[in-house]
Amino acid sequence: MSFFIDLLLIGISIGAVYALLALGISFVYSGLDIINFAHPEFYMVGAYTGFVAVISGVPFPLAIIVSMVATGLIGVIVERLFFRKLTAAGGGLTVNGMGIIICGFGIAIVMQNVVYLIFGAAPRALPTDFGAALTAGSISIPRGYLWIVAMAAVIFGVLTAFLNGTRIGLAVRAVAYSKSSSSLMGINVPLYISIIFGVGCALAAAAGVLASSVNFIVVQMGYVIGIKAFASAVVGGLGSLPGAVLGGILIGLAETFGAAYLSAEYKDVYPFFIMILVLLIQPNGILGRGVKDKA
Amino acid sequence: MLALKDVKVAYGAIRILNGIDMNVERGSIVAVLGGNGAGKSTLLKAISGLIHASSGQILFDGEDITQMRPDKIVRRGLVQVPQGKEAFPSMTVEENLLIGSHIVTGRRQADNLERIYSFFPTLKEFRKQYAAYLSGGQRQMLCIGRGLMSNPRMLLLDEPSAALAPLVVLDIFKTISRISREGLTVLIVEQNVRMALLLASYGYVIRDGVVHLQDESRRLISDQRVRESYLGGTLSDFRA
Repeated sequence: MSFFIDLLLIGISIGAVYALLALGISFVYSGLDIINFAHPEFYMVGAYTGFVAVISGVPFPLAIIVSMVATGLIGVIVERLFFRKLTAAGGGLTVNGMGIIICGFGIAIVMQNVVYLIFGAAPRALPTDFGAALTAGSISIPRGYLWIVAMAAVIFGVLTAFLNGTRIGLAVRAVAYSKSSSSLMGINVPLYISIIFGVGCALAAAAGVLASSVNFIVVQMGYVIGIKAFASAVVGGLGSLPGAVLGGILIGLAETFGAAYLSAEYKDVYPFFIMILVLLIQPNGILGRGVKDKA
Repeated sequence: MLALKDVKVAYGAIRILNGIDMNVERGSIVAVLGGNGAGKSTLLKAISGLIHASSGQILFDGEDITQMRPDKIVRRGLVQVPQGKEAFPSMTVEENLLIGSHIVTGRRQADNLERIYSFFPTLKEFRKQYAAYLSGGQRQMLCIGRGLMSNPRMLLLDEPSAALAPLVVLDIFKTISRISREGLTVLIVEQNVRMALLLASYGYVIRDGVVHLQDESRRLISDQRVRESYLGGTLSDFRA
């Protein structure tokens, strides 16, 4: 029984990381109609940025915020330099949309190599001591996992409050629905494209810093987790923010329980198995709709 | 207040506007009429900056806004209420109004909201309703109210009567008339010729991308040629 609860907690923790990543993916998709295939690399850059902050003496919770801000700004720079012409023209099933996908793959490769040039190939570990693992009876959970779940919940809450309760958040929702209609409201659409992209990257960074509390930081860390994050976003319904969280948790649980009770060798397969299953039954994802959910 | 000088607009090789000259006096209501495909919506898009004129000049209060970005034009006080009554569907009535006053901050935003609610009591009643659940006439009121939220000096209305019942249209036009009397300059693009010319003081008829007719509305209203512009010809054209 306690083994089951251990798995449940770990599954939810891993799921929380996937959820945060999927949140960023769905947020950018909902807002700009594009899939940012460099999203997992912003996760990786976020982890490295957090690492640098922590070894410079910044406490872990603050390092998350520092990394979010820094990576968000890097995201804005990348968007302005490389994606600008494409994002401004919209995405979707157009030549532009395809261009954005290909551009994303290219940016991903460049980002991986730039980070490799700076940090090298050796894996890094966060030197943070989270304290002893929490125990209750025979259940033991490393504190790092609790941080992940708590921070993910906080971030999701802040994002929701931002979108529904602030002037800028309202403008983000307007831009997500229609760029031309929002420009007629006096909204500076190019600025908001950058804001939306930057926030997406910041969310990826948060996931990266949180994940690095229980994983090694390495240049390729974005790759496999990135694909699972896309699967999570799709399972929950691409473009739906609650869906991203739901999808992430589901995939995390599927992976953990699958590895424990079925076969650990196929750990990475279970998420995609779930994805295929969900898509067969509900092609738009669990919380997705035919018409894109525009925040 | 608004002047268009030989404005030409093309979508690639397709020419929509072939040299429009137009003037809107401060404080007046001007109607722009014309059949389907005449270029009326394109005209408004060009004025608002959603598309760029390929040549010609658009002047607002003496300032050249021809190549200006749409949000900057809104900040100058020129606001368009686009065709289609498209309020943001997943936002409430109040959120829709607030997004209309995006460029207004702080205390003034709340003041504007109260002002619009006093103008449109129905909107106040439905303030927490999602815009998608409103009727067509209510959505049109919402869109107009939203356009007014940023304190514009001039309002561009694109077919406000479209797809609405006559009584509802009357109500909306009464509202526009009331707003105009408060000093707002209005340019209204319409398919409902009679109502538009009753409301406006001056009218332009667009045909084939140019101004075909222009006159004081009371003269246009009885002008046979206005009818012909819409129908594309006269009865004699059809006689063998």
